[in-house]
Amino acid sequence: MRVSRRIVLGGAVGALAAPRILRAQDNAPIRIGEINSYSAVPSFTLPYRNGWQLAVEQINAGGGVLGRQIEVISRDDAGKPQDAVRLAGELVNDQKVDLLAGGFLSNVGLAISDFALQNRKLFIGGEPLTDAMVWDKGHRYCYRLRPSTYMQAAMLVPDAAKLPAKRWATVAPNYEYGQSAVKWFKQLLSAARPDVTFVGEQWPALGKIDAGATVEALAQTKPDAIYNVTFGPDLTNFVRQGNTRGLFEKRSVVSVLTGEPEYLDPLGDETPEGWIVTGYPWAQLTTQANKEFVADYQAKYKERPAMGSVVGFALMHSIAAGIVKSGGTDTDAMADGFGGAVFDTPFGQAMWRAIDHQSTLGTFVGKLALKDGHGVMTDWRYVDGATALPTDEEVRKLRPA
Amino acid sequence: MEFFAVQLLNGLASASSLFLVASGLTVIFGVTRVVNFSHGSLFMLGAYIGWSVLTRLPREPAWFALGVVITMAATGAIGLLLEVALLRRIYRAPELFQLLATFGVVLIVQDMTLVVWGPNDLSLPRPRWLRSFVELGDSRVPSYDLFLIVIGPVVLAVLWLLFTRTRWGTLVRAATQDREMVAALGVDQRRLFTTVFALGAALAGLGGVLSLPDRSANLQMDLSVITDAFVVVVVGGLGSLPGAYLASLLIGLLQSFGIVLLPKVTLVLVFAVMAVVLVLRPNGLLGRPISAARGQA
Repeated sequence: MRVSRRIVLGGAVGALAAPRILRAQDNAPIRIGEINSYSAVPSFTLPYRNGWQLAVEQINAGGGVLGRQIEVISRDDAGKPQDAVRLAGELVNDQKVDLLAGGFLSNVGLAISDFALQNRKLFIGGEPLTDAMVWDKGHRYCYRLRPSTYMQAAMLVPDAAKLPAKRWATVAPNYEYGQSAVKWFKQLLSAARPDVTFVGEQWPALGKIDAGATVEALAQTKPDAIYNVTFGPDLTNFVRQGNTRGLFEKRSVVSVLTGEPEYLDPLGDETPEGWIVTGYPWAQLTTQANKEFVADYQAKYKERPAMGSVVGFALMHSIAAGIVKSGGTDTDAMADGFGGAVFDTPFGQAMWRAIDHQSTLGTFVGKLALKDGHGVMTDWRYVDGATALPTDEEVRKLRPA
Repeated sequence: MEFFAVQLLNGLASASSLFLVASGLTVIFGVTRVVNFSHGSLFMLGAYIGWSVLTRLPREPAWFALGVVITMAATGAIGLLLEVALLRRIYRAPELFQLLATFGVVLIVQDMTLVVWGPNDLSLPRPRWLRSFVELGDSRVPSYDLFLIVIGPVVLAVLWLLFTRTRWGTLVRAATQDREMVAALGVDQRRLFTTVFALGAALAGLGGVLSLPDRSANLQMDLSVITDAFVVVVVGGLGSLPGAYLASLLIGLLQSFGIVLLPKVTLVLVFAVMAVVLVLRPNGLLGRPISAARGQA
């Protein structure tokens, strides 16, 4: 078929006119302003985008939310808090979005959350893991999906406490996420095992680890076990230097996020066996929900899903469920209405907690192993987010009124 | 004592890695006076091209060396194209425009790399010889680190010979000191600039491909490398190769010992070094005032 300019133009005009027609019928699309670090962290955010696009497609094909279609206006913050805040302003003021969503780095997530508070607009954070998002800097207009630094630590500590190790060292990227992850791990492990001491810590700059020197500095403190928070390119560099220098021999390592495909796959045949990690064993998880998700995802994108894909997918479903429960997109109705909303994810059902706006989405805890030259998770189990949170009383103390 | 020795070697190895990136940047700046923001992108291309080449070659050391040479040739050719297509047209533009144009290249290269190689971090599987180490008491020093420690000074020496012992190098140095006089003497500046830029790009590619045994090729490396490279070039003195090496040593060593004493110093260390050096020597360790280098123009 020949595509003439007229057909293209006609189509374009039709596409432009369509939202107007819908608006005239008073079921205008729900506009979600989405911000993430697409150019800065593509290994996570591109699978994440695939995930939310798949969810939006499915939700809209099923009739939308409250009879309205979902429309996502997506922006790239390049990993910079100031860019994220500027884009949030643009989305709210120019694009007139109904709510904001997204985020990857914890410092960027906190910046958008602060914008949301100042401008009384709802922000649904997907990935930013720092507990400050919902606790000490939490507020009415901010929700967060992923298990936080506290929850990841609480999921790992039971296994860490069973290790004979008494001398621990930590290595974490030097920013909000890393600091928060180390703080909680220290606190929870010390509570479970009063005989444990922390003998060393390393704080490489995000994306710029000087791995040889870091590994040597850790070895110098003669720890029995290491708690690792680095991820992405830093992790690959750290593991390679650690392998060559024998840092992980006769030592236990407990590591956050390392079992997630986007961080595990680059380790290849150097995957350190026996590390206790959180992650996503996408190929081995045979629950109905995950099998369906993986099949749909692979049919559409011809590649394996990563943890980012799950986050993007679940994020849209969590927003849809919240809007249904709130009965519309009025910001104040949503700010309270999301609490208690239940939504489906590839990991099973999860819920938005009313008390601190954290979701109960969990993650998998297991051990790393090598299989056919690449890393996999073994002995894994799903830990429901609801079981990895402190009591309501403690949460109230952590969260400002 | 032994720990001191190991950390010294670590510092020297990271100094060499830094120098490989900074050398090309400082050579390009010295001659063309262009602040080439896209140098990190050439480094990144070196890593990605190197990954594509090396994963297709047998895994012995000789083939590795061949892969490195091929990668340098490829990034050099890309640099050449970049100079002819873009930079040549903006030498006379104000510096801010040059910075913007080369930053545009950063964005283009990032997107093109994403399209060609995909979003996932790519790591080069290490054959046994790349994992070997030398024992130093209880510690192990990777053999590859020792190789890096040697390669930095070797590159410095080769560049020094190139600039002092060849006619091309003499012209380049002349152009660095007084561009207009060289032009007045009838030297074809355009060819000079193009070749210098290609050389700088090849050096960036060398840095990129030699980083592969330690880290993955990823889309963040362009920007994470460029800031440190700029600091090295500024601390060493704009356009000065020995200065760049000295600065790399200074930063590499301070970093490897600094994180032992003050683990949280990682964020500010390189910039603190830059501030102190610039206060004491405003033109960098071995730099000359820029106005003199420009002649009376």
